[in-house]
Amino acid sequence: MKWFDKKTVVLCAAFITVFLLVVSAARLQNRYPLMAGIAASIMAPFDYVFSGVAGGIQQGTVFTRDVATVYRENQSLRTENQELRHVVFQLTEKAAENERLQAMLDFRTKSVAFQMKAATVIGRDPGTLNYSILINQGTGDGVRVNMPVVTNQGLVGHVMEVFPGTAKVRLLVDTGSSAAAMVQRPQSRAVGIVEGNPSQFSILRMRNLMRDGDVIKGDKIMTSGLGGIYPKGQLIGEVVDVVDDEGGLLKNAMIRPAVDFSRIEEVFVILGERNQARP
Amino acid sequence: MRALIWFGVMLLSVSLQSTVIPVLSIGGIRPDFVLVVVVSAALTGGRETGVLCGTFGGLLQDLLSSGPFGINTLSKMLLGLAVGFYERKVNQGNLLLPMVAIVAGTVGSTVVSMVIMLAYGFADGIPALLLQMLPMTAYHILLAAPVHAAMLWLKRRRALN
Repeated sequence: MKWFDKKTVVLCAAFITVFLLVVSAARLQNRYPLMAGIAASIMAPFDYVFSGVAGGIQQGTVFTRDVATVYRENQSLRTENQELRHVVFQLTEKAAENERLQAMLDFRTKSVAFQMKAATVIGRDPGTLNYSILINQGTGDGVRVNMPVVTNQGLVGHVMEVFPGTAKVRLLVDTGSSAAAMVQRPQSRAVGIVEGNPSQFSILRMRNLMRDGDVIKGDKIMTSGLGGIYPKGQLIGEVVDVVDDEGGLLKNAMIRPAVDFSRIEEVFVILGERNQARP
Repeated sequence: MRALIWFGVMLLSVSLQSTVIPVLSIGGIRPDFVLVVVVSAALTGGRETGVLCGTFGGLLQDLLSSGPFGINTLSKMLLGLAVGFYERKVNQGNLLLPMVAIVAGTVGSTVVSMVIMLAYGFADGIPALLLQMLPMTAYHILLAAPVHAAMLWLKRRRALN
């Protein structure tokens, strides 16, 4: 009989012993302190070794958790940083816009002699040889061909084409553009014609100045009012150089424009003088 | 000699249970590493080994813990005996085997523990025992395959030597 062999008897005896131990412990509320002490002593060296391992695992876990936390925080801060950069960019943009508009408003307030129409630059000349801008005011807003265009910095150009809702403005630096001009200095008042300089975009040329005309570096140049397009007194720029015309009786003045043509964003179209404004 | 090796294995298991395993607890749930070892020992060594490992491991746990004495000794001894019966009926090399056995073993051990707790008059602890049974089983399943692989390795080493 397989079930009653020696091993089975030993197993049954072990089971009964354990069972009795358990029952005894339960009834007598006894935890066998001597045996527990021996067990603790046996386990101590093992526990000592493994507690070091456990400490290492715990430190590793904490480190991993910290790294994960730092990574998450880093991601969060990066996102926040990007958002804040965007906000700062927008605020900077608004501040710049505010500054520009404030300057334009001041200019408009001071320019009481003219009726003006504010316009925003919505496009630039796509070509490489011509300089013009597209503004968001057209015939419907009272804009007509040849109306002067200015900013608070000075003269910009004139309207060359006009459409129902937009208008194309030829900039003063365009080689096809010209304006009757004069030296602002009271002792001089020398007159000439300012036009775009084909060899240098950022510099205008004032030609037709008499060889003995009184023009010096630093002179302010403004519109003379002759020619029928630009009203008198609009600032064009400042003389940076004066050169004699080759083999002639005339000389040219090189003028740095008062307007930064590469950064124009808002302009005014002069619709007319205040007492004779066009409809 | 063979018994000594199993005693050593159980000493290590109980020591790991009281040092490393608490560190690896997830959500406060600690696996019963000793139980996993007993199941694998019984599957690889038979009912005598199962009873020996279960009794010794459980007894050490009971002596070192502050819980009701006998819960681990009785439940693991019975578990070792029950699982040991299947030693020669199953393919020991199949690592799915300890995973299945550990599910039955965890449930069986919980039931035995409940009975003993009732006998001790600790009925209040039974809901907690039942609540942690499912996550513990999942944890045991994770541990079962590597522990069983280690047991098989140990068995082969002993056979070689």
